[in-house]
Amino acid sequence: MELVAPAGSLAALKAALKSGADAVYLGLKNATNARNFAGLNFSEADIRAGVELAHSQNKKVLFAINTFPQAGRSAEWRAAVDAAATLGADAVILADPGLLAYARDRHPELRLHLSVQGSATHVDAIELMREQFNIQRAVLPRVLTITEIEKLIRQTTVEIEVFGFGSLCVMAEGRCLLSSFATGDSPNNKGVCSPAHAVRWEERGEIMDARLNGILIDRYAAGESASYPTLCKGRFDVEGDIDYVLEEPTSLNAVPMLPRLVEMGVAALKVEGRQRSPRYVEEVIKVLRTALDAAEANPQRYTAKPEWLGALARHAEGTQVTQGALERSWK
Amino acid sequence: MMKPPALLRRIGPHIPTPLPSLPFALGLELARHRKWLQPPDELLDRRFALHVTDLGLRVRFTYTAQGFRPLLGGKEELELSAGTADFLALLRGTADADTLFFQRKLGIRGDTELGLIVKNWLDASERPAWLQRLVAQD
Repeated sequence: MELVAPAGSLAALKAALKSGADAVYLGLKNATNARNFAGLNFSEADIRAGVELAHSQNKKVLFAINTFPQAGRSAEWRAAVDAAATLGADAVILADPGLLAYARDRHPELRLHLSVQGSATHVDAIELMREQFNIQRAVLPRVLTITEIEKLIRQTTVEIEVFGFGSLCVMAEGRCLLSSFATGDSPNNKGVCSPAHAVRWEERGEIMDARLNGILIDRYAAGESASYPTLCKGRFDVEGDIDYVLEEPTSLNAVPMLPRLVEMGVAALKVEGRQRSPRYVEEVIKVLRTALDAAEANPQRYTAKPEWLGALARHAEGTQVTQGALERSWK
Repeated sequence: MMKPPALLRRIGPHIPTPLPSLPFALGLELARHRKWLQPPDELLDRRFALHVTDLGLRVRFTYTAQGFRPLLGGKEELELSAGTADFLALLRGTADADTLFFQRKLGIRGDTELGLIVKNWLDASERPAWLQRLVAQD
């Protein structure tokens, strides 16, 4: 199984390769990718250096161009696909069908991966994308149980990539309007939910308020773990109860399930977090490399070691982890 | 976790902000001249404060076309607060800023976007070899 690491900078890419990633995914410094944060991402010079380094180690670089073109500005998204092909991408991760068609026609040699933002959750959607655009891999939204993933793998020749660790999303990937409701900026075509210009942290003694464009979205008590300032992970007053309404701030951790994922033929395991530091990439990828090697070498004797889980929990959003939909009992 | 000396913790809160700001800005300027720090243009003419919580110490500085300078008047646009050990870990590249933030060990006040630019700039900066050696000896 391929271990796919996030990289928001050349330093993070180097940390990922050093720590045992088989591939890294990255984005350009614009709205064509879903981590369009101030100061983050790669210049063309950095990409050239990163691609050269990765290829010298027989590792891959995947380009995330996984937002949807803004009206009247699709040329920028097509230019990003052209840049990826020119800069030596081993694959592009796309969500928009128009962009998939462009990449198929203009760069037939380029591998196409369907992004999680494409929100393909069943075999018909994935097969349609294969028939129309010849996608070679689909990244599954984090809504499927392990049994559903297993069934899906049996029904398609498209490689399946699943998330193994990292912050969770409200799971309306590619279709989320929460951020644009509060700020006017949508993650779908601006590449950022809760844009930093709209975020304010206000401290009053030990209490901290998170505001998004003036809207109070959470209030943290003294010493309480914080999370990213997104509406989906906020706490709100609903009929007198103040609690999480959509989802709790937590990170997915699939490490306990690795032997099962290997056995059922998952092609790649993705780590979320292009916005995180090289240190995060290094520590998380090291753990996943070790765990994945153990799961592949001897699945029967595999157990997720407490030190792995501890290292991952330290970096988790809200400092708590879940196996998310993977172990969900209801459908 | 490393703790600063008790004497420093006692006198820190009583030191007026301009006093440590001058040597701090000089330190940043030295690092810039040695090319250990290469600030992006987005930081030009922006105003910063660091609050070292366990020392009770605050430094304020700005980055101009002439380099880092202590900030003696006006209000800072961004203040970051953390303990000595966590600030040092961020400087060395041995801590993840988001992780510290989730754990409430790193505070951010003011312009969040400016904070993100600073964070991502530091994350993208390769640490000098001597600093990496120092980390390896820890």
